[in-house]
Amino acid sequence: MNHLTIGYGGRTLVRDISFELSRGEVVLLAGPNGTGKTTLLKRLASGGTGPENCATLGSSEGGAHSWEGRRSRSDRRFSGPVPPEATAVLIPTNIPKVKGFTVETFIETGCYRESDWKGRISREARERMEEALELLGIQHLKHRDIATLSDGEFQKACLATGLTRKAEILFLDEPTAHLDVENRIDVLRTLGEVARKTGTAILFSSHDLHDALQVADRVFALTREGRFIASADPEAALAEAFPGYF
Amino acid sequence: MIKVPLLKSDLDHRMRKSYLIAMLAILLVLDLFVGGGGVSLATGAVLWKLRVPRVLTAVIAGGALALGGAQMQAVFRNPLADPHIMGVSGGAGLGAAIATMVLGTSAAVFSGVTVAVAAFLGAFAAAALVVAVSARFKSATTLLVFGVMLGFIFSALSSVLQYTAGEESLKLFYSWMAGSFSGCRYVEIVLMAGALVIGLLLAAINGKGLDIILFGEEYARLSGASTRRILVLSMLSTCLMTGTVTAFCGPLGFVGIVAPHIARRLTGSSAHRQVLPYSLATGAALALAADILANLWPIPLPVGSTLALIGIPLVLFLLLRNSASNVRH
Repeated sequence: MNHLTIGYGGRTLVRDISFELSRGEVVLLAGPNGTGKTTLLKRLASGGTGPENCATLGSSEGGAHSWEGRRSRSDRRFSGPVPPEATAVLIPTNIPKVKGFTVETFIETGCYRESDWKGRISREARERMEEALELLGIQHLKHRDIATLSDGEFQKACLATGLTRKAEILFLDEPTAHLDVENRIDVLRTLGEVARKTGTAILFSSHDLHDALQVADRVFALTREGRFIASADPEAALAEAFPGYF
Repeated sequence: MIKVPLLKSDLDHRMRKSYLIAMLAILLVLDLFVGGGGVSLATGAVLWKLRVPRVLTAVIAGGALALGGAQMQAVFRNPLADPHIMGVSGGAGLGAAIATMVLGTSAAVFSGVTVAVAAFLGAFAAAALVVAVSARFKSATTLLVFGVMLGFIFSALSSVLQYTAGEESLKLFYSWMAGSFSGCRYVEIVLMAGALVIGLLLAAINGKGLDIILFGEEYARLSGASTRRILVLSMLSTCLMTGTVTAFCGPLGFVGIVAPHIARRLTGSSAHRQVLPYSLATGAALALAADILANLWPIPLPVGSTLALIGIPLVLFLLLRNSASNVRH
């Protein structure tokens, strides 16, 4: 992603966003409220082309910062940048837990683009779904009504939807919002596991900085002044985004 | 071991579905024995010219209105949405009012047919307005507000017309307004059945769209759906069915609201490949029940009223049940 500028209603939120993601890495998107985290994620997921935006994720032209993780994991099986044509899926925050959908039908419904006119998904996609459910440890919830799930379990069902849709990049907007401590840590740990085991690149926004830092390889920070900071040093990035806190 | 409760609830739902089908069949037969001021066995012309058409009308009208309600509730994510709320019935009412009161009873070809045609045109004018305006409104909520306002304007205009109308025209207008499944000929039944088939097809094509829109417009867009296509398809389907049925049977409420709720409860699912067919069946059963209740008496009651008498307690029951289960949740 090179020199992307985001904003709305004629107002510029953040200028000159350039970064690249590598396979299997987890990146935390941090920044105070109203600095454009959600706007950025939506923009990235829609892959829209703006005036000064080449809109390819993972192209290596910018190259200003290394995508080598802060702590390179010895067990990392995937490396190298995410290809520019990678499938990106955004999981927004606050998806309603509509009564009358099992985890299975919820995932099928979320595969709108991928399913046939009746809403059935291919056998291949079904296999991906089974794998995702197993990886996320929610296989036993497959036939449960989503309205009866805990927020943490539901967040995992949303992750499973992304994986069934063959996401190579997952964007998550506040996946830990409204979660209690236990679920929060569980969901964050799951994010790390998904990235490591499937090679999916994950960019997620969160306000739970301390917990999120445990799992994030890198941090992207948005500042009140509209700057985008992708630093190899998370603490330095956070210090700029939240002056006075770090 | 986890499969045990699942199988049980699956069986439970399968049982409930077969209860519904059995109920529908029983009501259908019962309705054939009702008419002519009470319970009686009909043969020959009475059976084929009066009762069979009435039963068919009830089944088609109830099913069509229920399908409309199921789609509106999904698109607007509002448990009380139904075709009435979108101003479609209001448009039909205004059309009927104009036909009876402005053209007057002296019109040459005057009959119930004129009222029906005018009501149909009114419903379609309202529907066309809503669909046209939907291009300008991005959000379904705004469109819902527009539909409700439209309905109020139509009923205000109808009231103005009634205020200035003569006694004869008022009588005719009120008899249409009261609602009835009687008096339809086979031509009209075929028209309604045609509208139901097309409406059902449109709804079926749109099924997975109706599912995803339940999770919000943003989630639908992120999953690759066109919210505009979902909205337009469901509006077309609903307006076609409601317009046609309202023209011949009068404005009938409550079926559209109640039937989809019962269908969701019976199937235990909100997915539309389940909800649509069972709404259709439930709507038909409700309409038959209302028709039986209307025709048990020496002077038949208006079906609009008997539907309300059956429908309102059901709506209240479902709302109370829902809020009770929310508390538990």
